[in-house]
Amino acid sequence: MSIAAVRRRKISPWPYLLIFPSILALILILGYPIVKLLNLSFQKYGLTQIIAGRGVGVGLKNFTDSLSDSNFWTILLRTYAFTFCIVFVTIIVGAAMAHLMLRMHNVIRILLTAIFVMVWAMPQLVGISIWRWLFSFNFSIITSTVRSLGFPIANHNYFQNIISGFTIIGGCVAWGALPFVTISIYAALTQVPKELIEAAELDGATRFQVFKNIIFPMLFPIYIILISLSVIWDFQIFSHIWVFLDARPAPQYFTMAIYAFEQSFGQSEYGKGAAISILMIIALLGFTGYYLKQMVKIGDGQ
Amino acid sequence: MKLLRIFDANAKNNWTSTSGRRTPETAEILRTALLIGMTFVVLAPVIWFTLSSFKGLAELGGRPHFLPQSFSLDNYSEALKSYNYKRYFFNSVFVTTVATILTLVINSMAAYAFAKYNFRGRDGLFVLTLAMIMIPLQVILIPIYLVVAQLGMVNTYWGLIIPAAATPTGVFVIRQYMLTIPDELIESARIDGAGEFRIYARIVLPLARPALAVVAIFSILWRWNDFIWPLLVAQDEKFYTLPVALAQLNGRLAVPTNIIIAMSVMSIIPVLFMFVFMQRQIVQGISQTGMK
Repeated sequence: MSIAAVRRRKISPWPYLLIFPSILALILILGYPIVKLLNLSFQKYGLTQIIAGRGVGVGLKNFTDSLSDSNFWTILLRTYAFTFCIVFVTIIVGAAMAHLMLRMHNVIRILLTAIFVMVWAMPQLVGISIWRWLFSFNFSIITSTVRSLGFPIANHNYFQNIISGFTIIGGCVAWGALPFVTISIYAALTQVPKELIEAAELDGATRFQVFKNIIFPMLFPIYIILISLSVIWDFQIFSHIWVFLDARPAPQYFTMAIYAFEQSFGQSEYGKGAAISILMIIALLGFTGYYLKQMVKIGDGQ
Repeated sequence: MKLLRIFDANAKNNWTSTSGRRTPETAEILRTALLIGMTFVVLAPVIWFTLSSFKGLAELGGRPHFLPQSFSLDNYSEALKSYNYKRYFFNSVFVTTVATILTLVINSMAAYAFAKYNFRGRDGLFVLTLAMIMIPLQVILIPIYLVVAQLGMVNTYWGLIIPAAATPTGVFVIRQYMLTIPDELIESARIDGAGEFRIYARIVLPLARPALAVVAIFSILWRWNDFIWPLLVAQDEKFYTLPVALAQLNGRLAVPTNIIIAMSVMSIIPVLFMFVFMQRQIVQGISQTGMK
């Protein structure tokens, strides 16, 4: 008999007492501000309104304005594409490294873990600064290395072209995320029973078959968690773009997070910025809805 | 003959092992080389950064070299001398420790309720908790600040610590793990007359140790590196944490790059030590949490 069945008969105060502190903190720190944000999104709240101390209700105008603006859709699409690329690269490279690590000698493995951990422990801002420095206009170590190899290239602005710019920014994001992904997948791989793989190999399974039929299904839950967390984190990327582009990103570098921030604090259109933020959260929920369901389900139905 | 054998393409291997163990295969060597190559790409920025912390300000502003032209510890001694480094360090350690303990306690309580009780509104509240993971902090900065200001928590340690307790990811990770603890265990404890709180503290918590370890590691890392949040709350220099101090230096008219680098390197060291010592728990914790 499950606890659920026993508990259903009488209402116990325990679960409510247990969740109370967490829920209170969440409501206070995240819930209430979200309500404020929602409230703001239905108002015109610009400089005049700040001085007056109150916004003017405009109904759904901020939302319809954004949704009918082609800029909004370009930026949304760009954010999706950016997120997809980073998550894809992170998971593939992370999985490859984890599989390689599994075959290494113990000493190498511990050394590698220590290195990953070092990158992992690096504050995000410091990590971004390093990368920014690697690709800066005047002092780029990349440019000067190429030059010292005998190619007389001039100082290069890597952010002139948005493809190369986004590649560098995305590279930095993936770099920061790689240790966590690699260590997680590696850790999960160590849990796959060796006997199972050996038995399959004895039965004549190819390496790919072993991966497809044994390793991948066993690792499925961890992949779900890693992918959904990565999507959530990468979709919201803000500091990377902000710091790389000196806090003045050109419009072609706008992602949803930057766009919302810029509307609020750059244009002082707080109402519109709030509406864009809400739309951004909805866009993310739509994107991760499936994974969310999986996450709630994992272990639930078993 | 020997020479011929070396160039014999049909021979399985062209080399021998010096350690007397079995000779490695080509594929194995390629794999190792690939891994080492990738690792180097991951590590290179960190090495370069650490090396840079020994360079003088003039050298940092000039043409970049990988190795410092003149090796000096001046940056470190100046950072320790002219800035209130000890205070920032203490603040960081204090806030990180207390916030992590608080996070673990309240998140594990909520996780236990979500995993092992059936109560009205459970699924709704859990989905709501998960949805909170998706809220980008920078878009709700102003309202959050207003809340904290209204509660009188600006320029207090509580202001730095309490908001950290709102970590939906922690609730989620611990809950997923607790689902794997058999219901029968809790049932039999209940039949033996153990109180609800006792069951949570004495039975469930020890069993959930791997998940707690994972959340602890994440929490330590997040709190140690937290930046936006403390920047808002800690306006008085007395309450600066290391990242806030670094950000303030970065915002100056003449940015003391050399000091910033030295301070950054110093701020990584404690976390690094913790990670290296806890390496085994980290891998174990993640593997046991993720697989179930």
